[in-house]
Amino acid sequence: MALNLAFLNRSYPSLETFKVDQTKIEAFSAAIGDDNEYIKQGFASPTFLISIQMSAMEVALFDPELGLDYSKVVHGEQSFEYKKPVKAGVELSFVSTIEDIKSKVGNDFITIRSDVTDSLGNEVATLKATLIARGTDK
Amino acid sequence: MSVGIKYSDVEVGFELPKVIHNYQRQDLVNYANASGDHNKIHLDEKFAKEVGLPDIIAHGMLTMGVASRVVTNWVKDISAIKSFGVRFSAPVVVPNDGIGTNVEFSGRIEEKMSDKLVKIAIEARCDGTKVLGRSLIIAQLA
Repeated sequence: MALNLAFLNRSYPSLETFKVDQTKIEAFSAAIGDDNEYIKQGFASPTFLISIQMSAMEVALFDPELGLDYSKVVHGEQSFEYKKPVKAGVELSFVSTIEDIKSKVGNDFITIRSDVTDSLGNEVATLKATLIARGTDK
Repeated sequence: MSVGIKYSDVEVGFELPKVIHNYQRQDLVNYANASGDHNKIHLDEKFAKEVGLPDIIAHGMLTMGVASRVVTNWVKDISAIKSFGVRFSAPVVVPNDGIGTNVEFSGRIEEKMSDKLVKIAIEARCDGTKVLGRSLIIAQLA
């Protein structure tokens, strides 16, 4: 099943802010084996924001009208651009935009860009995730 | 910006210290809990095989996270990291054999840019197969 192209360019502001705390920073760094000193100083590992992007994207990805079979989804590409490091105590807002939708040889591709700001409106990071739903035509 | 590593001290071709990471099933459970990604292809062997995978596969984002350590272990300073992008080119299959799967991560300075920025190409190999493609970190050195 092809994805619903009407979702292209739709934007989803996160309904709530995400508070970054030291426990989550440490759980994430432990899971990837990052034991650098900055963790103890309250700074998150470079890919930490994915743990928030996942839940910020759910509202779009789980919309039945989009037609994404989440059980077939694998991660195709991911990127991060950092404006400032993520530190314990900050409250982050995500605006996620569906930037691309396409089908290629029976696989569906969807790219979501998330623009992340702190409570003062400063840009923190921009994330892009491309997800692939494998072989949903079969 | 960076504490230790000076831009003037490195050249194109410089190789960063390698990171070797062993993936076991429990590591995927820990990563699922820490990241909130509970997709069953990373946790449920029966499910993974039903959807056509050889076995449970690791989260791509776990591999990306470990890959970041090649650079963060080297520069030490988190604010040095300006961007990081990867393509997931092959899965890391994690059997339930108590031995797990090793992936070797290496990094090499590919380009010296302006503003003391360097472009670092990261390679991740599992049994000789590249599991990350086009994996690049831009870092700002001192």
